[in-house]
Amino acid sequence: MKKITLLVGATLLFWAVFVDAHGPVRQKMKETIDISAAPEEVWKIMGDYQDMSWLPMVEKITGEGGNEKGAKRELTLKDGGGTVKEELKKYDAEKMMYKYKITEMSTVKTMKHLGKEEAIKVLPVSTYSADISVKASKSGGSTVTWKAAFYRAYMNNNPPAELNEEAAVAAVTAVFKAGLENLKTLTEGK
Amino acid sequence: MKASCCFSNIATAVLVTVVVMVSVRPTWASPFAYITNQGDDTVSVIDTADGRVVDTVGVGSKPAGVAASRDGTRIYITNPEGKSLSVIDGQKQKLIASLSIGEGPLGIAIDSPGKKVYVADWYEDKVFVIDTDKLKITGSIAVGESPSGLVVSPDSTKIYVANRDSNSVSIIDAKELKILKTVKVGTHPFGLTVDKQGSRLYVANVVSNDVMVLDKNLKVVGKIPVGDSPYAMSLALGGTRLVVTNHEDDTVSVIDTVSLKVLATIDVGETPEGVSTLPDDRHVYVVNWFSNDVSVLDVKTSKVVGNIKTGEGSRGFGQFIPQTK
Repeated sequence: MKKITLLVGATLLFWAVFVDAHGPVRQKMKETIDISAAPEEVWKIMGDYQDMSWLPMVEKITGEGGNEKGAKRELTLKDGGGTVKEELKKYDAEKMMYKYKITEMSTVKTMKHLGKEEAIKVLPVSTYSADISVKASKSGGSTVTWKAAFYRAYMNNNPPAELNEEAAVAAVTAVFKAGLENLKTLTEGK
Repeated sequence: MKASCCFSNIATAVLVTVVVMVSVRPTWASPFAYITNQGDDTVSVIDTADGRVVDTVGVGSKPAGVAASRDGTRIYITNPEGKSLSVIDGQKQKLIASLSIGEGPLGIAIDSPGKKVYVADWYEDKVFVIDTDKLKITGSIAVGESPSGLVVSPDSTKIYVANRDSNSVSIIDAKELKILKTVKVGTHPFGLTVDKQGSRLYVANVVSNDVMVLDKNLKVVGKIPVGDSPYAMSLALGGTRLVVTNHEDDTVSVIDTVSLKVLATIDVGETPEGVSTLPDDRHVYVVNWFSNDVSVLDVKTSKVVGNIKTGEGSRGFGQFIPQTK
């Protein structure tokens, strides 16, 4: 328990409940990074739906269905960070983009809020979908864009700080930033 | 010389514009479309005659739902985070009033005379009744969990509400404010649409990825599988086509309401939600939440024929174009 708490703090990943119901305001996020390499080079590293080795917090990935629509993958995060199951929604090798959604997340811990026990799952989001793409940039390199849409995890009014919109945005931002920065490092070979 | 040349060009341009406007517009003025931009706390006002944004009106916090009166004089907007209703004057395109309402007002519908507005409160599991002359809440009724889409029957005697988390739809007697009947539908019903005769109700089930067809007494007539996360619907071509937004697929499904089959699945903008039909009964506006725009779809040819930039996080959940006919 103590170990998990420390990890959560250290990685800024406030893992939370995954529920299907949600409040009315959906969140939107977009992170981009410029990389000094051809889009094809970047796509070679991040374009396989079944390979998430470029995302630093991922320890292991299993999956089925390759890069076909409907393909499944399950990410196991490092240091007991939990598991995330995802499904491929759209895959376009020509446009160098794919879109996926989270279908299930494991519970990492629980917390009390308004007299109720709330399960805290991997990311404090619900109804999460995202897409990642790489395009040629004007400077001759590439721009990678990672976009996501999600609701906060807490389905009722008055969410606790761990499960509100800010927590959801902070957690997804942390994952995207870490992933994109590592992708740049891997591609540029620095 | 130069000046006169330019003047003449401008005059020609003005003349051409006037001719085009006259030929495009029917004898009555085309209505405006009102798109709620949840991220901007605004409403984009689009002139449906030429698809241009002519105004942007500031409303309450995180606007989502919209209901335009049939004559287009009043537009009612729900602000789930602001816990309020905003009223826009449809002639001046100005915010003219605000009213505090519930804990999470989202779904909204207006009766045919424009005298009563119904608002579903997501958190309080209630439908509020607002008298539009007094601009006051005059009643409320407890419904199922997380009520979402609302529609009023064309004769204004009944209100249909989708109880998202109860997986049900209820009919409410508009006069008595009494639930007449509740039936189970698919998983997480969100948008509702009623036909012009008031004989059929369409229900978009977000989680079971289908559209259910009910008769006016809520008896199930059929069920049509569509794309991922159907949110909202609008009828076109004399009620023979139903356009459904597939929120997570970036597409719309076009359903033949006679055979109850999907005729086409068409790519639109990103994360489409609201959809309303233009007065020509042939084109629909599809509001795309992620890409912040409206796709203009020709239902007859199943082609996207235009794109209109709106504001941040456009939703347009409800009847956002006055139903002039």
